[in-house]
Amino acid sequence: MRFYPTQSGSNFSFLCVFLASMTFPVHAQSFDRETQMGSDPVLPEPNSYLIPPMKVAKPVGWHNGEMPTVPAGFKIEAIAAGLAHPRQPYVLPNGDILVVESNSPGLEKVTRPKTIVMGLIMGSAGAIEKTENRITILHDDKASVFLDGLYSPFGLVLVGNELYVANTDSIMRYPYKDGDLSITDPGQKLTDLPGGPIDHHWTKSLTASPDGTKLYVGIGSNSNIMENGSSAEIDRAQIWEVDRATGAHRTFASGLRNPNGLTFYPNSQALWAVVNERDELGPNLVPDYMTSVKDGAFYGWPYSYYGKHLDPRVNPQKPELVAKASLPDYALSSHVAPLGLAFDTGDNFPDKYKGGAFVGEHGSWDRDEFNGYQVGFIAFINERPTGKVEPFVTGFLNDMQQARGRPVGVTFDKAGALIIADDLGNTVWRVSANN
Amino acid sequence: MRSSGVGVVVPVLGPYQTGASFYLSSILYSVPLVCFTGAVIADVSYVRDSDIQWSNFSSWLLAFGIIFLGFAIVVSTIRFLSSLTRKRRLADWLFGLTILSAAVAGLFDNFVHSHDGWTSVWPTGLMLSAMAALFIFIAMLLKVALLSNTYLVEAR
Repeated sequence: MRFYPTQSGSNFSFLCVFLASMTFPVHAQSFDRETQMGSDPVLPEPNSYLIPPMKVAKPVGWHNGEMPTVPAGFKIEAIAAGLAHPRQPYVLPNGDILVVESNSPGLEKVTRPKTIVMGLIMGSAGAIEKTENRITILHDDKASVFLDGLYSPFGLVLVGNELYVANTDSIMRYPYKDGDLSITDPGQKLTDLPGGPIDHHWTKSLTASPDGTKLYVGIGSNSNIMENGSSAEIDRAQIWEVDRATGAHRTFASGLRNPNGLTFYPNSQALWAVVNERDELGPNLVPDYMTSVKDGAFYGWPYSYYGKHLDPRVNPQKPELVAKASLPDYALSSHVAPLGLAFDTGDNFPDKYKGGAFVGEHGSWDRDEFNGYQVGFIAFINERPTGKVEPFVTGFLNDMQQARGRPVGVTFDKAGALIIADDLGNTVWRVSANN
Repeated sequence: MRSSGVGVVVPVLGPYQTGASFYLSSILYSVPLVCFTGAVIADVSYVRDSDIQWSNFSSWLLAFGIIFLGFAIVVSTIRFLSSLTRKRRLADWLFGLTILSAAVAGLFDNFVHSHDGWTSVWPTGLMLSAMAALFIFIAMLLKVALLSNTYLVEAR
C-alpha cells in the first residue's frame, strides 16, 4: 500500500498501487489511536492516495439545551452564546473574561483546481463563516464589545497595564486598567508579524514570559507542505521571541508547522505549545503534538516529521537540518487539530487534574474516522506529560456524526473552572467541579 | 454523394458522421492534445527548477485537458453508438483504445497533481503527463490516418 515510489519503481507498479489504493484504502478504523498518544507514538509508513480520505462534519450547532458532556462530578454551562466565531478566551485579573471573535483573513487565492475543490469542502464545514474581528468582554454575565476593528486576531496577553493583541499581521499594544469594559485607544503597533499574502495558518498565539519582558508568538506555516513555494515560508513555522520594550524579535524555535496554545508551565520557565502537523500522508500520519519548546530547537517542518522521519514531498531536502531535528514531548494522535492549551493551576478541579494539560482539539477532516472534537486532558507528573489523552469534554459531535460545536482556545478562570471557546457552536462553555 | 473534381479533397461523411460532429470532435480533441503536451513541458520545467508556479500551471492544463477529453469521448461514444452497423477498421479500434488510455492516464494525473509538494510532479505526475500526451498524440495520428484513407478513396 506504500505509494511513495522509489526511483526505480516501474510505471506498471505505480498504476497497480494507484488502483489498489483506490480499491483498498487503509482505513483509520483498523488503527488504534491510543498507540499515538504519548512520548513514543507508533508511526505507520506514509501513504498517499489518488483521493486522500476526507470526512467533514456537517455543522448543525447546539439545539434545545444540548450541551457538551463532562465527566461525573463536573458540570458544564454556557456563559455566552450567539457570538461570532469565538476562538480564544482570556481571563483578566478581576475575573472578567475576554473572548476573541475571529476567523481567517481569507487571503488565500485560487492557485490551482484543488483550491476550488478544497474551498467547497471546507465551506461545508463552516470554516469560512463571516466573523466580527473583535474582542467581547463577559462581565457580570453580560457580553459587550471590548475592542473592535481588529484584523483576524487570535492571541491575547495582559502584562501589567498593557494588553497585547496578536492580529494575524501585527502585535498591538493597548492600555488597560482594572475594571475597563472597553478600549477606545487606537493602540500602538509593537511589531509586524508575517501575515499575507496567503496566510494559510493565520492564528497568532501569544503569551508573555513569566517576568513579562518577552512576548512569544506562534507563526504557522503558509502551506501544508511547501505547496505555495519556498518564498512563502520566510519567517513562518516558527515561534518568535519579541522584546516587549522595543518590539525587536528573534526566532525562538523553528520547524513548528502550526504552533498554538503558547503557555508557560505554571511556576516554570518552560514554554509549551500544541502543534498541528502535516496532512496527506495518511489518516494516521502525522500525529499532532504538545511539547515544551526549547530555545533554538528545530522541530522538523517541512523536511521531517516527529524527529527525523523524512517527508518525501519536499525538494530539495536538507539533511543537515533534519539531523538536528528535535523530538516533541507528547503525541496527541493524528489530525486532532489542537488549537488551545491550558494547565490547571486552580483549586476547583480534583487533585488528579492539578498541573495537568487541557487541550482544545478542533477536530479532524483529513481522515475517514473523526478524531479530536473534544477537550482532552493529559496528566502531568513532575512537569512532564504522562499516560494517554483522556477525553474530558466531549459531545461536540452528535450521534449522527454532525458537528454541534468545535473547541478552540481553553483557559482557567479565577475560580479554577475551565473556559472553552467553541467557534462552531458560537458559545463559551464553563466547566466546574461539583464541590 | 459529394462529388468532387480531380484533385479536390473533401472528407467523406457517412450517415454516422455529420459535418457538425466531425468538426466538433476535431476541436474537442485538439484541446487535450495541447493541454497534455503543455503539462509535460510545465512538469519538466518544475522538475528542473522547483518553481511551484510550473506545477500550478501544469495542474490547470491537466484539468482543462481532462474536461475537454471527457466531452470528446462523449461525442465519440454517441457517434459510435449511432453507427453500430458500420464496419470498423483496426485503426478505429486502436483510436478508441489510445483515447481511453489517455483519459485514464490524464485522470490519474489530475489526482496526483492535486497532492502537495514535490511528489505531486516527480516522478509519477511527470510520467503520467507524458503517457497522456503520448496516447493522445498517437490517437491523433490514427485519426489522421483514418481520414487520409477516406480522402484518398473519395479523391480517386
